[in-house]
Amino acid sequence: MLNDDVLDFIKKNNMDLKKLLQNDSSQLSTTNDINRIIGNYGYFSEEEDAFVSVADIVGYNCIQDQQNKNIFLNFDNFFDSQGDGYHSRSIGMLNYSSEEIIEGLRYSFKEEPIVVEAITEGKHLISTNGLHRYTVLRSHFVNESYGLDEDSIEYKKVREKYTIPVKLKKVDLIKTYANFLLSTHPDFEIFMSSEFDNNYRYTGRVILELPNNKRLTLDDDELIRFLKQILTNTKCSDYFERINNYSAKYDSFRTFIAENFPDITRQIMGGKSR
Amino acid sequence: MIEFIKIDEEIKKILGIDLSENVVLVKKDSKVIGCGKVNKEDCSKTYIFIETECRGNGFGKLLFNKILEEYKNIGFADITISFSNDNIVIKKIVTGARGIPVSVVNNNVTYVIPL
Repeated sequence: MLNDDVLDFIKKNNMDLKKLLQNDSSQLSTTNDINRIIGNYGYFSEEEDAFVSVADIVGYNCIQDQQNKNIFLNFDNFFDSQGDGYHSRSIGMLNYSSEEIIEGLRYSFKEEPIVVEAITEGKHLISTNGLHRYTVLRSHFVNESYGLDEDSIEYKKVREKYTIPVKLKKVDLIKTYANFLLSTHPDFEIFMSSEFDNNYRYTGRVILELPNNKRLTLDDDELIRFLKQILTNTKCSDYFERINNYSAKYDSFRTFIAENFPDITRQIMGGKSR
Repeated sequence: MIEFIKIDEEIKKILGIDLSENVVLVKKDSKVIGCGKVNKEDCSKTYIFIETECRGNGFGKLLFNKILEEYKNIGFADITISFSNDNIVIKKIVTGARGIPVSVVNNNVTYVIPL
């Protein structure tokens, strides 16, 4: 909720809390809110340097069921001068005004990069590093962009102002959706994991542990071919119904199914055209 | 000041601690605030504890890194750790220790940490 540090921050920055609490931009998303398959089965790329606007970072990945799905009501999860080290150590950043915050945090962007996961277009989530900074930056962004038309020059300027350097991880949709299809298969238990080399770098291939202690190491094309075999020989209607339901819900999953399994899309979609 | 103290073989015998286990105490300003346990034969028996009132200050992270050091000294090349994807505390510690995610099933993630 709102402790004294947070109330002080809100007052200093002339934030109209009542309006901001009701604003859509104040609402936080989790991975499961955006895409439940990615939330439970997601594979991500290695981190790469990128610039991302705080406008596109819509919540935290690693807090899946946030107590309060509002950025302002989440402040005390991170800021409390009377709390333990985790809650008190970053209190200083509440003293920056909206004009000072980016410059004030510039050193930290380099020394302790913020890690972001790109779940879908325009919907990124903070990963393990940068939760405190994101909370402050997002609240400033929400306050400054309040009431602006997203197509307006003023809104674009605010987006630009709150564009920060991050370490970005992108969803590997093929591995994610393959993982989902294999892990939830009704007939067998196939466990999938990433292969890495002697330097602990991903090779891009996955290792499948099959029944009877067999192992397969596959690249993406081989993984798709393997999946196709599995799906072609699967009869369970509940399984296909679940696939169908998720295809209706998530564009990227529907595209994955349609592009990679065109011959059996009709079977998967239950004969319905899309 | 933070200190790590490894319990020696004599003390282990007196306390009845399994000799295949290495125990490390964490002291802050001469008060024990936590401990960690390493099992040379079965690292699923690793154990880390920091007293509740001392949490949130990075001591768990320091102790975890000390535990990794112990495993490295024993001869392990890497360790594998699994936990709920929602466990932000463990996730931050593991990624901070250069852990790489290798699998995720139903929100349970497995990381490999090179030593």
